[in-house]
Amino acid sequence: MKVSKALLQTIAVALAVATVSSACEGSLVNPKKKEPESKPQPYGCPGCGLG
Amino acid sequence: MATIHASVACNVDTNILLACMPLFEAEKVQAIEWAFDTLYRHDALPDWFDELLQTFASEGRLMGHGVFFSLFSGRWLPEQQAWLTRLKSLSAAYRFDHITEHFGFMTGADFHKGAPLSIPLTASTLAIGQDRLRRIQEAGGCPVGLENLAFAYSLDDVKRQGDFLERLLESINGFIILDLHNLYCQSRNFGLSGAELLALYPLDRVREMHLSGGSWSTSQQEPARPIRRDTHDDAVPDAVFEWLDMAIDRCPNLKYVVLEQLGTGLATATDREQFGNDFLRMDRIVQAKNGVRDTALPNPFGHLNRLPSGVLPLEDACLYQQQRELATILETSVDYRDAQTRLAASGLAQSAWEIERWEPAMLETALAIAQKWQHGFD
Repeated sequence: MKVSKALLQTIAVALAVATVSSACEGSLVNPKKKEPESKPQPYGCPGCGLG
Repeated sequence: MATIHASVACNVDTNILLACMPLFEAEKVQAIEWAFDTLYRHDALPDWFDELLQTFASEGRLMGHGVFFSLFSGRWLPEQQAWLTRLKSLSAAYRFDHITEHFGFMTGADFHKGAPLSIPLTASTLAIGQDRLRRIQEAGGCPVGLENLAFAYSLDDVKRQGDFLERLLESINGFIILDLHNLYCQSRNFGLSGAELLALYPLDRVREMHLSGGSWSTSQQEPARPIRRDTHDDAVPDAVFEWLDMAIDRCPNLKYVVLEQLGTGLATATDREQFGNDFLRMDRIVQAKNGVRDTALPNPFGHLNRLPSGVLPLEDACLYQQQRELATILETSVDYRDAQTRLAASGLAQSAWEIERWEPAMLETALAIAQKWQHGFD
């Protein structure tokens, strides 16, 4: 299925920043709302695989 | 038969998204599955991920996958009600083509902690499972499915899961996610062939398949017996691809085949390249089947009967007590012998759980799984 080039470019930039900042600080990228002031969490998510 | 869509499990995970980007750019991904209840650490999705979800949802190609609902919990938990409320809200925001959860109950005392383990088939567990499925269907407003579980305590446990799923799902005209790697785990752990395992399931209920990889663990009780576990952190085994080729022909209502892997298994460029190769191998099998399938079959899954308003969730205090006892024993026993001794003195002894028939190596594995996930992803 087609995903627009503009969206893919936006995702690519967000991932590039996330990769750099997680290497440096483990911080978030471009959340829609301001994150809680507690410890920021990286974009990691389990899905399933709880084996 | 339905047209099959080659899909990925896509979540807000840097490594997963990095692995998926070349596939998105090549327009190879025909649908995505989002684990919608795993964002508990965040207030909101990034705008770009929201747009990605909406892109697929607008084409009817977005699946919602739940992880933490704990279908068979004997007590109705406030977190389950919150989960349903959240699902209702998300279903209004994103048009899910269907919603799925896992067979089993979560060992964790807190939501988002623990791992899914199997449950005995009794009138009570069946009624609770059917009650919860109706509530998920009400909240999601779309077809609902359950995924087969990889872990089993015994061969009997393996053999009854397909029938259990059928009896659960017929009440909501629901469907099965047939996770082929979960079947592979059971095949390697209990000595059944892929064909023998497939024959245990009502394959006309399969609407989705999962492909993933896993890992091996060892058993102190049975050192010569490697135990296969569904850890989603490695490439898809060749046998699972062979089973995909075999299973598709037996599943006339199959619509999605989903490749899933944890982000932790995609940390290097080599890992991500392997993921891409696995997807393309899966896609070749799917497209070859689509070329010879009759694609005119309508969706047979969905609402049969609505849950009357005001009906309280079913509960079973004895079952919940047994679940908490079992989870505590699994999470705190120092070894298999300790767990076996404590189980024999527990409320699960001489009960429908049939703990006396659990295989030592599998009880050891249950200890390892429960202790691995007792603190969630912290």
